[in-house]
Amino acid sequence: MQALHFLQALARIARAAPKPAHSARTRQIRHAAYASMAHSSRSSRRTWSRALLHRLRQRQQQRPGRLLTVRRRVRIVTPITSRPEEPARAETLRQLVPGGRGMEYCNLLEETADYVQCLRAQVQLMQTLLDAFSS
Amino acid sequence: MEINDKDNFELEKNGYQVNYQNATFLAGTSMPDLSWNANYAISGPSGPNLGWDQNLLCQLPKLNSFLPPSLSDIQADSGFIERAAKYSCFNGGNVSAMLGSINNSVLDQSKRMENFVEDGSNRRGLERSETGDGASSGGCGQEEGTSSANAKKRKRPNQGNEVNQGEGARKSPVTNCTKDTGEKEEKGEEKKPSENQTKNGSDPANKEEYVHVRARRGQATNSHSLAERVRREKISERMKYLQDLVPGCSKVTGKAVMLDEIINYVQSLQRQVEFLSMKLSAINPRLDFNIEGILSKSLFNSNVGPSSSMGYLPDPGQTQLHLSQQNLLHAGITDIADPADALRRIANAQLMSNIGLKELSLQMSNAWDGGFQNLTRGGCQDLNN
Repeated sequence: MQALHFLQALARIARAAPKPAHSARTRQIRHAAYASMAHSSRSSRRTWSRALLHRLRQRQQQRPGRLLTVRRRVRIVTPITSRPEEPARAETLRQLVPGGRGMEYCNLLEETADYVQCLRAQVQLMQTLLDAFSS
Repeated sequence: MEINDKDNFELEKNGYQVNYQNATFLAGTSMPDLSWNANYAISGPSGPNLGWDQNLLCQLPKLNSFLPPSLSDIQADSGFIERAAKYSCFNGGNVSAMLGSINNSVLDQSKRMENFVEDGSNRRGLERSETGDGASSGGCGQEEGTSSANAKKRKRPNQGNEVNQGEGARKSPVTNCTKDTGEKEEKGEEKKPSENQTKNGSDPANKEEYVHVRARRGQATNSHSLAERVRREKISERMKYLQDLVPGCSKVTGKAVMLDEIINYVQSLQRQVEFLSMKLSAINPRLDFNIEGILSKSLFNSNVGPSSSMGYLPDPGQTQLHLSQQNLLHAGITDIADPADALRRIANAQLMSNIGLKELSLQMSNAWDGGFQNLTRGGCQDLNN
């Protein structure tokens, strides 16, 4: 499911008017990678996938016609709710995992596990694609 | 603090084991092993990964009916409810043998719930609970055979310690079979998780201590601390799971270092995605119309149901190449733990093989029309020839 989505997105990008801008295409591909990760069957129920998709859509809407994108992020939960037993690095992890700010530490760990799995799968997929295309 | 906890856990655990045996004797269960095994059979295949919370909640209504009114006040959260229910069911064993059957059913449910709660995504948790529970159920002898009970009690902590280091109160419901008050059970549950040593010589002393000792040293027994303990167990369980996921973390112990490792791993993965996307964008112009045709074609072959249907051409000649390329790709693809990934891997391999073939054919044919159908047709003809 993940691979399917990613390949379709890649095809779409390839079919689009080939922009000379290398960076724009890179951005599009990265966008497609994260979108396919969020759409995978295993993670469609997860908090991080929803948050990721939301973030991607936000970026997409802001992108056209704006040089400077103004990011307005609504913080649902402030770090005050972090219990004293949470290690100090929990905040870093929250920033890394999409949607990590609104979660308790317990759920954050679970989401991290799923996110790591999907990330790893995505990386392997892209690696395989690269190898297939370049060989 | 943790050392004290360990000692207390041992004491309470040993003490509770005796009561457990008594309870089962009273309940008149002739074959406790079978009941436990049945529980495992039930909970085994349903070892849930994601939905264990829901399962837990489903089980709750059944157990609530068994709750005596005195314990109903303690239901602070779901974890609490389950524990209180387990303990209440064990209370019934002391009351009369009639409730033995009810106890068994509740034991089954509680065991199931326990498995749902504690195992989470860990299969090993199931096995561990099996070993621990099997030993305890084996130890459920008669009241008179206290010596044998002691021996089996000793064996159980051994097994538990080997297998259950810091696993949490997973075994606590098993050993906390007979509880007079909710407090006692809570304390016993607290002491269970971190047993790492077996004190065989202290067993008879433990029995006596269990009878008299109610308050665990330095630990509050109100609902908040219990809930906190449940939370801590959940967190430790998830940290273990993450430890398995993140490579090179098996040797690292301690939550802080683990967390650093996890963060580093996630950051490195994200950086890898960026890097790979950069590389893909560099080589992408070469492929252009190749990808979608291959994709739809391979999807058609693998019966996935492609979204865009263009002119499909049957190509039996491709199957051989499929296999060879698949083998190569399988060798190249690193091992993925998730079984769902295996399917994806295979689909990947198929797609990759298709892409490789198509690339070759396109390079050979030089049919660079704008039309996608022309491309595929030309490519396939070259292949078949």
